[in-house]
Amino acid sequence: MKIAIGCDHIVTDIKDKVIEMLKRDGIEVLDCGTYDFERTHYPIYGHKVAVNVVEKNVDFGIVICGTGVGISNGAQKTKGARVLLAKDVLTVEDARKNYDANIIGFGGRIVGLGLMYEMIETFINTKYEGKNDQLINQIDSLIKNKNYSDSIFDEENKKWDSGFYDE
Amino acid sequence: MEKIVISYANKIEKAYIEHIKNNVKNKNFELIYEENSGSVEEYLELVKKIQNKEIGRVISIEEFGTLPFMVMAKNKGIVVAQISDHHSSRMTIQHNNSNVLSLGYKIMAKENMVDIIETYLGAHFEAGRHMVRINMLENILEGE
Repeated sequence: MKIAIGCDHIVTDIKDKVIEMLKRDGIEVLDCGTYDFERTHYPIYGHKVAVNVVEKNVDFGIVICGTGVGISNGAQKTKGARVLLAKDVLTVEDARKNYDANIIGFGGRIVGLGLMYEMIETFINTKYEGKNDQLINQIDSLIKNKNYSDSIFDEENKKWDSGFYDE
Repeated sequence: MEKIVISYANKIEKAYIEHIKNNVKNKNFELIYEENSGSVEEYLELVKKIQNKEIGRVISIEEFGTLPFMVMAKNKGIVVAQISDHHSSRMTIQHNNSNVLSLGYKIMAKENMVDIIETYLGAHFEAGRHMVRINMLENILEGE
C-alpha cells in the first residue's frame, strides 16, 4: 500500500504526524509537501496528490488544509480524482462503497488526529462495491483534458511573488 | 437580491426539510427550495445556472454530500464545501468563497443543518491573498 499526502502551511505538523502513523502501520508514503510553515497555496498540493493518484504512482491520496475545503477542491479539479471531504466514518464508508473515492480530504483544524486516523483506516480498508461503474465513468469524464502538469500554476506563482496580491 | 437554490434530495424526510424551510431566517438572499432526484444531470444544471449568473450559489442537501462535490467541483467557477460544522461553514466563505455548500442529512441533526446554513449565509469573503488560491483552482481547469 502506498499513499500520497499533501497539505498547506497551516497544518504541516498534522500531516507529519499522519505520515508517522501511516509508516508505523507499514504503509509507504509519498510526501507531496508542503514541508514547512512558510505561507503557500493549497491548490498546488491538492493537485500534486491527485496527479500521483490518477497516474497510479500510489493507491490513494490524503489532503489536509485548515477546513479541508480548499485543498480538496484543488484535488477534485484534477481529471480522474474522486475526492470526499470527511469528518465522520459513515461518509467515508459511503464514498468508498458507492463512488470508489480515491482521495480523502480533512480539515486539520476541524478533525482531531484520532478520528482522522480512524477515517483513513476505513478509507483504505473499505472496498468499492462495483455497482456504480457508469456513474463513476460519468464523473471522470466531466473533465476532458489530462490536466496533470504542475506548470499550470506558474503564472499565479509569479504574480504572487511580484506582490500582486494583497496580504 | 442574490438567489440561492436549496436543492434537497427527494428521499429526505418531509419533517426534516420542513424544519429547514421554517428555521432558515436570513433575509439577505432569495432562497429557492427545489427537490432533486440526485442525478449528475441535475447537479450540472445547477452548475450552469451559477455559471450563467441566474443564481448566486447552491446549498445541496443529500445523503452524505459526496456526489454533489464530486460532480459540481469538476466545473469552472465552482468551489464546493462538503462540510458539517459551524467553523467550516464560516471559513469556507471567508477564505474559499465557496459557491456550493454540500451537506449530508444522514450525518447532521436538522438543528445543526440550520445553524450551518445560517452561518454560511452570514459570512463574507475576505479576498486579498485568498484570491491567488481561487485563481489557481481555475488554472487547474484551464482549457476545459
